Amino acid sequence: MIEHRLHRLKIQITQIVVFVSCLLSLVSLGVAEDRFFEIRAKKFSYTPNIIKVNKGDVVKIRLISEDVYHGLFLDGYGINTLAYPGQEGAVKFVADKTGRFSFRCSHTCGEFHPYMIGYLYVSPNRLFPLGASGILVFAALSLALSFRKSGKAAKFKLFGLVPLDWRFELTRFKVVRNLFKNRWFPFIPIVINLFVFTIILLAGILGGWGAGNYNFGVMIVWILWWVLLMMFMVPVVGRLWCMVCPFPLIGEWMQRGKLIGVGRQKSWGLNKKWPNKWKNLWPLVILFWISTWFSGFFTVRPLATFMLLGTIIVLAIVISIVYEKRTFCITMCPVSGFMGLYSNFSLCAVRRKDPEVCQKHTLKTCFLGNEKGYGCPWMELPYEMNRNTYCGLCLECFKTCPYDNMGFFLRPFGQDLFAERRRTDDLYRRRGLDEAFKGLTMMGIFLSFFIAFQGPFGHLKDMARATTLGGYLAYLAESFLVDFIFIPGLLLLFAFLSKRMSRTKEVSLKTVFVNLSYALVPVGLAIWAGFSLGIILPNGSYLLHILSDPFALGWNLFGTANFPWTPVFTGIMPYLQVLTVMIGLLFALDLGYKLSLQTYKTVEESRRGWIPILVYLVIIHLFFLKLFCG
Amino acid sequence: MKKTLVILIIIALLLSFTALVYYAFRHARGIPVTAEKIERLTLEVPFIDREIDLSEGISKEPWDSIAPKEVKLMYQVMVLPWPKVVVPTVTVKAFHNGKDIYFYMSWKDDTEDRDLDVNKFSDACAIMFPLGKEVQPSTIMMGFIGRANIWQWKASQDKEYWLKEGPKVKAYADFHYPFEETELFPVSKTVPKSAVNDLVAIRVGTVTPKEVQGQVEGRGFWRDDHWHVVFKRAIEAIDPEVDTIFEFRKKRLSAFAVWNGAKGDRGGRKSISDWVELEVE
Ligand code: SF4
Ligand code: SF4
Repeated sequence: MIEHRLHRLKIQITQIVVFVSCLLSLVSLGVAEDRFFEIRAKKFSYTPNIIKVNKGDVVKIRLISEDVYHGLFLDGYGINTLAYPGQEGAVKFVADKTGRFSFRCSHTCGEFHPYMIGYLYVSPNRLFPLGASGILVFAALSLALSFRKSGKAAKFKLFGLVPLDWRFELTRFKVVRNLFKNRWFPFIPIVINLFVFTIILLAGILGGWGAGNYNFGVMIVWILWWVLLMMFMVPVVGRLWCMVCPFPLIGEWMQRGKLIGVGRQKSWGLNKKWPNKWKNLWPLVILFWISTWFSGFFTVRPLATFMLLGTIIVLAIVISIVYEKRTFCITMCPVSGFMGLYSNFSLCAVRRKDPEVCQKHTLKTCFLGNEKGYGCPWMELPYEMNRNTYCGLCLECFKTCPYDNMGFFLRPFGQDLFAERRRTDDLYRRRGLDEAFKGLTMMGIFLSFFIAFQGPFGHLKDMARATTLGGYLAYLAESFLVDFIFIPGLLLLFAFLSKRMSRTKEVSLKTVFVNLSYALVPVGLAIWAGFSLGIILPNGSYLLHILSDPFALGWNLFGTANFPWTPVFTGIMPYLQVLTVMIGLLFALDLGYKLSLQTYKTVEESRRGWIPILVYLVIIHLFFLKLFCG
Repeated sequence: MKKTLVILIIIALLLSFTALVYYAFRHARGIPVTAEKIERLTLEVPFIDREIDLSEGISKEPWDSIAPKEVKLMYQVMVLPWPKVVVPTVTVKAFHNGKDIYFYMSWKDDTEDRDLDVNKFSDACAIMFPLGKEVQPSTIMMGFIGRANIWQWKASQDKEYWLKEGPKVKAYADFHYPFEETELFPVSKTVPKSAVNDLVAIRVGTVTPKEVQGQVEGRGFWRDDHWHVVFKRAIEAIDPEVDTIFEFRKKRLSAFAVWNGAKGDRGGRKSISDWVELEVE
């Protein structure tokens, strides 16, 4: 009976999806006309900030600056004009490409210059209905597949193709293994990184309170590093950044008494223990959120970047001489939280190879350390580690394991999301609301960042850069409400519906909420990757300048100091962003259903419980689509 | 012992970080400039039933009954810098009698410079009216967005027109619009039809005398270290394309400029005002 009803429901949903897709695809047919816009530019917004035309219209834009030199570069059309007070700029073009295009300031006009953006809509915007149809079709397919598969078999294969527990050892290659066992690795990359960060800090001091887009520190950290982190390091290798991060170097050296060789196993400092109940992601959730309060400063002002990095370095040293091992990395580093959570999705991981070998090795040198290396600085238990959250890829366990039983593995995306709970998870109160809130706040922070920094609204930019205290406080209050109330509240609502529809009494609402929040891990990575595209494609060319002239002293080290600002692929950027969102959705749908199977006792419960979560995923993805191209 | 050392290290760290930040704040380069919006001055143009015959002078009496407005002046921004001597303010008044509109400008100038010579330039003043609805936010570039109508009174021309006295020397430097090639070559001098040049411009380098001159009259007197200049034009515009249209009970913009010949002002080198709103009653 239930099966029959569900089957009918499935057909109905499919019909609705097809109908809505057709509706959305209907486009209005307009007659081409001459359109004239007078756009006034003022730090750091355009008025009007959104202009709408129809395909074929002849668009004339007159750009008037009300304060300083401003430009207007139109993505996709590659058109550029400049204006300063008394000197207007003008462009004329035929709107022959459809969709949403950003126009952005092309002349450095102050610290928020890279965020000075407006939108041009050329209807019909086909990308949005296309994307929306895609989302609905994927959701319908996912629903259909989840009802077709028999039993829990679906749980074990990613997209029904790769078994989730499949892994391939990269350290089986001698070169890799020897490299990982060498004490000079990853020390050498850390030192190179330290050199780069020294320049960053110097550039931060010298750059002062001026605009950041021509500053080495701001550009390397917020354009290159952030983008690499979100688009490559975390999704592919996990905490690759932690492997080469220079910040804990000084503290660790003070603890150990040696930089490369093996010194003290017990820290020289006070060696205090961090309280167990705070050894989870909560401190990192709060600290990262607090650090985003200042994003309107440190992403644009060199000195603010210096202050942020300096605070991190000082804190890393202080915590290292007061507390044991990498307590700083586990509990304080602002970026450690999301790297930890999102690393569970990554393609690579450090794991023990043979559990039996570990069982027989009673003296757990990977945890305690020996003459070859230190006991796990991240206080993980490498011999039973099954998730990436707290593995900093420091590679000590490769050095300390006498049986070469640690391996570096390639595995399917998202494997760790299904790992068994361990004793330490309960002891340290890990893998609960802390990780759920990490994922949810990351979505909220993305939202605030995207709207304030890549959206066309000048007043939000003014709030984020604190032109008035009231506005700034309102910005923080909005961020709190969105990150901690609204976004978690929405998931809670759908988790509640999921539990109701599953009709189970054995699973608590909290379990449903936490477990299903892991479906947001690929979503979070995808939207941040989309956000990163919006940073690197328009602004990447500044990197050429700052590499040649890192301290703004007029140098031209590599002959690229005069390379002009050149946005690349910004015309197809919305397509790329929609693509990343779609990839995220595909993973979320596949992993989400498996998480539902893991949460509920029976397949029927899981299927019914999955429906509200599916609806939730569709809703948030339609919303993200709207942000990127609607 | 170790505890004290740890605390000392922490204090040293915090102090040095604070010192670094402080140093960076003090010595950082690239402090951004903030531009503030200036409120616009309004100049009322009341109705006064009086007519002034400029051939007889500029008539003191109607002007005394009108409240003056002090308009601040600034340097004209130019590509090539020059020793900047600004005329800080100009006093302006205006009235109309239903038929003609009159403007009065007065500013401090220690010398009366009416004679042209080599490296000797005439004093002058001007009023600019943007034509059309689109007006650029600043007056610097003389009608960039739409056209502008400029009335320029020149002391040398005043002398020539009213007193019928031309330059005393054979060779002298004067600055004529437009500043194109013709400026570099001798041009045949025309007999002025008024002490005021009636000009149109759409941007720098396009200032052009109108074909028909004499529509705008003007006369100036130098007394007690001050210039007193009066402009007069019929309210009704002859050619609305290039003539300023004055409409009753409607606001329109104007701007003022002053040249101090003794200080080397000529051509584009002058002191200019921001937009002033006119209210014709
Ligand atoms: S957690 Fe932070 S400080 Fe620690 S290694 Fe990773 S990035 Fe570096
Ligand atoms: S020692 Fe610990 S942190 Fe380092 S790689 Fe091994 S498990 Fe990861």
